[in-house]
Amino acid sequence: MHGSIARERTGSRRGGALAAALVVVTVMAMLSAAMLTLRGSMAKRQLGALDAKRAFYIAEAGLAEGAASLALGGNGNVASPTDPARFGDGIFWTEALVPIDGYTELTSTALSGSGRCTLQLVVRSASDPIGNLGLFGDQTVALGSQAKVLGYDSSAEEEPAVKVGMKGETAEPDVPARVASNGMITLAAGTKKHPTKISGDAIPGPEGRVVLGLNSSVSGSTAPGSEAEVLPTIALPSLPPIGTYVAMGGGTKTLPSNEGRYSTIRVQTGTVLSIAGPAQIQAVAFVVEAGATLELDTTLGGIELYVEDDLVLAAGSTIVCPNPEAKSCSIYHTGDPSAYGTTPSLTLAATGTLYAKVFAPHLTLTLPASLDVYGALAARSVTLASGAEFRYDIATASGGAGGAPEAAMPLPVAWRVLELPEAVKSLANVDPIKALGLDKDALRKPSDAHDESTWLICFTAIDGNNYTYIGSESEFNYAKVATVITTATPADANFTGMVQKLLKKP
Amino acid sequence: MRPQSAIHRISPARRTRSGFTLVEMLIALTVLALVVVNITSLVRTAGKAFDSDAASARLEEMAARTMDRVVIALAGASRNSLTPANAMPLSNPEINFRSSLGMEDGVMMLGTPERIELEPATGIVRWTRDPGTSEQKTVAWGDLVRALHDGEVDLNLWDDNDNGLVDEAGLAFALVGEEGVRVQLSLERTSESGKQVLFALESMVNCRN
Repeated sequence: MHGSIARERTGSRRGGALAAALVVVTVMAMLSAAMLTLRGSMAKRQLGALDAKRAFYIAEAGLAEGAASLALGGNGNVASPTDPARFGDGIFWTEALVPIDGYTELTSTALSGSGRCTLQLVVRSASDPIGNLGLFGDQTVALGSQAKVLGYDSSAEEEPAVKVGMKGETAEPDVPARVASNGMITLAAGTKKHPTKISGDAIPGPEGRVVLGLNSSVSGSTAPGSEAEVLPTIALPSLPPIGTYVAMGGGTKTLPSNEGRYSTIRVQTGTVLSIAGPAQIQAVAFVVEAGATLELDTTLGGIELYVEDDLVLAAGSTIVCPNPEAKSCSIYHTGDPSAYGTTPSLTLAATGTLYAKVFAPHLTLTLPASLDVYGALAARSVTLASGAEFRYDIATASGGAGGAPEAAMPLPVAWRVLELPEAVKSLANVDPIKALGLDKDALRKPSDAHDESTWLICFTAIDGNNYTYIGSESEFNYAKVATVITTATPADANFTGMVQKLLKKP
Repeated sequence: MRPQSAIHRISPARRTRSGFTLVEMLIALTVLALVVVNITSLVRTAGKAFDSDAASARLEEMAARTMDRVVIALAGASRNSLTPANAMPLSNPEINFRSSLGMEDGVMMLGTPERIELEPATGIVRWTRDPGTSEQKTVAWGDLVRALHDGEVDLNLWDDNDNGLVDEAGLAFALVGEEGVRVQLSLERTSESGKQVLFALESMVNCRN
């Protein structure tokens, strides 16, 4: 018989493996948690920097939106602190202020996450107030027999194609001119071969009309304007006095200084006076005698000539402009006859080609056939002598080539970072939409948030400067007002004129 | 048949002996030691990698923050006020400028002089308002900037790193065109594990005034 060996296994199993495993797992878990925490704080810091950058770029977008509002004829205000516009992950609002000197200050405040930023941009209108007028006579515009007003674009890169008719005759390029008046526009009779014509629009005043003689034509609209045009006011620069300068003795002469106020500038027979830009010149009287030559060279810079009394380019004198960009040369006759008692003399009877903007709001101007003028011209009354030609350079109206002046974006002049408004500083560093208690879905897009309301207030601010605000009265901050000069609403008779005057200031 | 007394009996309760033999202990300890060493090595490697990564990320963040401050300051500066006016390939570790304060009566108002410069000895980027006057105010905008830009070997009048600038410092300003300023920033630090971490950044700013 075989015995069986039974062995009993008795006793507990003891060991430390579980404890050791637990210790190891705990240590690893603690290490992981520490690393995660560190990573989290680094990510938070980076996110804060990203939010600041986002706020900066949203504020930039707010400035651009304000400028777009101005370009479209608005007042520059976009949204408001209580009803901001939404852009990307943030919100913004833009406030526009129009100081008396004609520049507009756009201030944009943006919030994104924990980022906050306020930026300011000062802009000025891109459209030139004189260039916009075209050929303008406040009282009348009269074209003599066979006179022509044509269009021209000095900023075009290529020479515009000339249309050739079936019989080989050439037609002028298709750039529209602009002739306007607050009174009548008359075209004297021409001939079949040489008609009197305006290639573009002729816009008389609200009470005026266009009178067409035989063989005369206007290719564009002749409808009267809906309201009278307001001539811009010219701010005279403060220049150091120099005295009298007479260019004589033959040869080419230059002025002693290109920036100064002369009592008289006279160019005698046989002498050439060359003025090369940049130049800012004021003169009580500016006379170019017969047989003398005046050269206005804007190749290296613009020329601004302000004349108070007699401005005479005598018959038989010559004018030369090497640079065919009229927007670079401005001639202003600033004298008011009522202030002098006698009527100053304004004579542009020279021979040659003048590329310039000419502005003489108080005087009558007659353009002779001997002088071809390219640019813009505005006077109290304008007459084109028989056979004279005037070419309206549309580039004088704005910086663009052929674009509608009214739609030109305003030009940036100054930019800076501002301190945050107190109300924004006190906001918690969290999502601004939640902090302000706004409904995310109810926030408007920037393009839908342009301020359409127009309330105007001229005031003296606590910094002592005068400002004009055009926008929503409910959003205006009276805290910065020391004295109210005047207010106006669209219901007031002078409202449109005040706004136009402010927005057209150079 | 054997007599019962001769039957080999199994003792009813043969006692078990709990414990480990010496050999088992030695083997267990050896295995444990190996595991611990591996774990320690793994933790150390992970730690080093994290440390290096964290140092690199901190350096990158500091460079971005410093560059943002410099760029915003120069964007608000008047281009005509920038000095020294070094155009590429020359550069300067310092730039003086004046910022716009807006327009008044049609004239741009400029603020008091400002300067951004690199202190080569300390690697600190400083912004100073009214430098050299009693009202001077200085703020440190960043540190860990290298004396020479990444890739530049020495002041040898040669573009060692082929970036268009000659012997540029860790912070370098060079004028570009009519409105632009090229800014280069190069930072360096040693991580806790002793590894050198480098980060270089370049930006082009247009002065808007």
